[in-house]
Amino acid sequence: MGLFRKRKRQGGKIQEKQAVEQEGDSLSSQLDGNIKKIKELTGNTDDVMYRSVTIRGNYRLLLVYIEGISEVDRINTVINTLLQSNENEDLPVLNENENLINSLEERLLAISRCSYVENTDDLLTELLSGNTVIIADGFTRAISCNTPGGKRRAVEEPSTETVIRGPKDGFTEDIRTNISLIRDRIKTPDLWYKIKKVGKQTQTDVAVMYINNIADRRLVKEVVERLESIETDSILESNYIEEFIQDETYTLFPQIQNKERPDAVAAALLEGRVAIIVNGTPFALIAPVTLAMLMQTAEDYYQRPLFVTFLRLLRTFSFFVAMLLPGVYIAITTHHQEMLPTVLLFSLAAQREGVPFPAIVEALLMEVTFEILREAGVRMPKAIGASISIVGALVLGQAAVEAGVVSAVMVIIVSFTAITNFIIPTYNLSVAVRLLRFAFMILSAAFGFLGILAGLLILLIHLAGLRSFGVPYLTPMAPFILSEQKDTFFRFPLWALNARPESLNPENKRRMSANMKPSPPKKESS
Amino acid sequence: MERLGKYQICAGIILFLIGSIPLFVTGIEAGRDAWLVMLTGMLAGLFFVWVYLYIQHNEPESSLIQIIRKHFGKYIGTVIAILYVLHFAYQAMRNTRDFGDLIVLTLMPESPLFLIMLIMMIISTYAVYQGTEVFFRTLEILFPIVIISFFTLILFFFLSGVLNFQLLLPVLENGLMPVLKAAVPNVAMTPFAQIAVFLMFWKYLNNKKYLTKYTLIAYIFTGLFLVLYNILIVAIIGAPLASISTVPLLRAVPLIQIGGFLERLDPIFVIVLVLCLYTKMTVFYLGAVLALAELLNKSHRKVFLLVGAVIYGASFIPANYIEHIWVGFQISHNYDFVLFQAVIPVILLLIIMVKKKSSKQKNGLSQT
Repeated sequence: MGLFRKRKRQGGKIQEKQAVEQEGDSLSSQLDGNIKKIKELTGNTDDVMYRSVTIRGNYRLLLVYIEGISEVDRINTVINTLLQSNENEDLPVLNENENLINSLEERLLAISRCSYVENTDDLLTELLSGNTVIIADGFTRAISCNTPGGKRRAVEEPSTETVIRGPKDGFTEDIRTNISLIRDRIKTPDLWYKIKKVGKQTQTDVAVMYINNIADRRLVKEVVERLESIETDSILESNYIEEFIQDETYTLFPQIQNKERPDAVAAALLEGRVAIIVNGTPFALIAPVTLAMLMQTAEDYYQRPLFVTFLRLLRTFSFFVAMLLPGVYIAITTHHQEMLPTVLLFSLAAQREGVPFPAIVEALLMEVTFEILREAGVRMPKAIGASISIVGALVLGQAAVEAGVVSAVMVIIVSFTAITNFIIPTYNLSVAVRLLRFAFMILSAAFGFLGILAGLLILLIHLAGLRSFGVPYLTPMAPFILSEQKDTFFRFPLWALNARPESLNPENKRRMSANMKPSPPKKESS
Repeated sequence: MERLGKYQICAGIILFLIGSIPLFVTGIEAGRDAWLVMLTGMLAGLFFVWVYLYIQHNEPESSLIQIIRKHFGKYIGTVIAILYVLHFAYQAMRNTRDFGDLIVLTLMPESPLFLIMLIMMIISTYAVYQGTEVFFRTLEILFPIVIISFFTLILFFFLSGVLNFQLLLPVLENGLMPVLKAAVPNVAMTPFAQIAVFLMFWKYLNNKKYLTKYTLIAYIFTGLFLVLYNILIVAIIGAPLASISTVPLLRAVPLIQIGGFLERLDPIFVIVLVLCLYTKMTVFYLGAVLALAELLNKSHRKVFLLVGAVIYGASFIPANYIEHIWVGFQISHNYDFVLFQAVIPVILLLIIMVKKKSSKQKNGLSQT
């Protein structure tokens, strides 16, 4: 307790210190003084560039920018514009302080966004955002020109959510690009967003995006409030945000969805959800989210409805197979052999005859091996990826069976389970299933079907108790919402999905006019 | 405050009423007319449902405990309320024991009873801890699973050709009296009048105008389902065998053989039975916890462990399954159920009616 108090006090001190710093000193009228101060504050870092320009013979200007995060071409344009004012005769009288700066700013506005800077703190913020600051000798006010730049990855096909049909562009690390990708898709003035800076050190741009007359106002307010309550050093990826604002930490299940596809985010916004876009990561967050949503993909709306319904049932089936299959196998072989048809039972027993382990050990052995292979596949250099898959498939699979360490059925079960796990569209969720699989294996080894049942009931109660921004996680199954059944396990034709999800409380409930079912024009009888 | 939807109440009542019934053939005392016993019991039970609904409608936002304390006065009311806590806990304990014995008899013959019942208690306690809303959400998910399983079972019975409706004939061989004797009060009291425990939950319904409609839909659906269940069991294994087997359903299920592949389905149906038992047990458990919490004016998260421990401890009292069943049919049916599901509610109803009448008269007097 004493230790805790001490740490708390120290925290208070740090905060006070920062508060003093934040006020910042105002700029001095001496150019050299300002340069000295900037050098002092940035530790004379090498990538802070100073270029001086003299206009009208006697007015010395200094351009400060940080190399690499600002665009040199634009800075050169700024310099050109400044130099042009050399020759320009109708410049106002120069001995009045404000006028020089004002007229320069007016001139610069033609080429980029400008703002005034009056203290060192703002000046540094502008510099660090990639802007160019122009300081004039004898003035306490500087101009900041918008010249951000630097290397950015181009818009590419998203690597985590591939589709057969559908747009092939994905988010990048740049928040402006990402917002523009969404704006391109939703051209309504009601698409609103607010950018907040989160993270004391990183000052990361975080945008909360929603459609004004669709999203529930209380939801937007809640999201913004939760974001504003974050006080941390750094936000490096959207998961940093997710972990600070999610409803429940001690659960395997994600309560906020991350998406790499702008079309998926646009669709969520149009349903009345809120998107959070974080600078520096191609993964945008969507809230609130339900379990059913995590089992859907963007492509569900680009393929034929009946086929998508089939796919969704397949995914649900795979979800349970991925979670339960090894457990069920263990339960049957150790506790309920009588359930199997006699012929199958004989063939299983014959295979397991030479295996020295009980089923649970055998299964754990194979599952852990597979998990290791999988993690190795993600981490290792791409060049040796192929060799690992050969080693994994041949050596650990076939050879293990031939050596009599595991039975062939177990290999089939482990590989089928692994494949079904890949069908789950959301990686977050498939990770949860992977972990639960081990829990169910142990439960079934101890209590057979009763163990599996107990595990499922506990899981069900847990899921029913989860909420994502106030929306129960199992919506629309529990609480049951009839109108949302059109787009949960089934996917009705788009013209039938005429209402936005009720559970989100949208301000504007209808998506389309009532009777949109297509019907061919009646042919006149000839 | 927590709120329940109409589907949640509906699913809850159906699963609760099915409860432990498929473990036995209720009304087998009347032989092959067991289904008539069930039907009569259901119709008689309607009277009690009307009593409970009348009480609830009179005070839609109050639970049973609040209503009792209001109308019986502070002291008598508190005593009766405490008795109800014990009654609910006792019912929960009965279902826990049913569950334990069912599992030991069928799925896990070598596992110790205390462990099996502990598993059940852990699941239920977790549900109770999460609260009414979450628990009823789980029922909403379990409902289609249970109902689809039962109807698949019925389909399998038809497909495998084990049904022999001749076994049901002749109907009413000994006249109406044996049927009536078996039905009232026993079958009317269990399972049908057990719906009384919902006096603890009806107040959470978000829209009270659905109260009567959805309660009755659930009640009648369950009633007809149980009648169908009795018909099928007697038509498959016959009344004599049904009356002597421990779990008649598990005598009937192994008879299913379809295509030489679908056979030995009993573990699956044990699971379905377990789901129904879980519902019934947890409804009583939660009812006891909520009642005690209201009595002590505390959050239910402060008392659930105490109630759970009492239920778990009490479930060891019967020495064996036979004694447990015998106590259930002889003592519970005749005293416990009648007192808590008929006598007290009817007295409560009369008090409310008298109070209403007198207040009406007063109003009438003051107006004239």
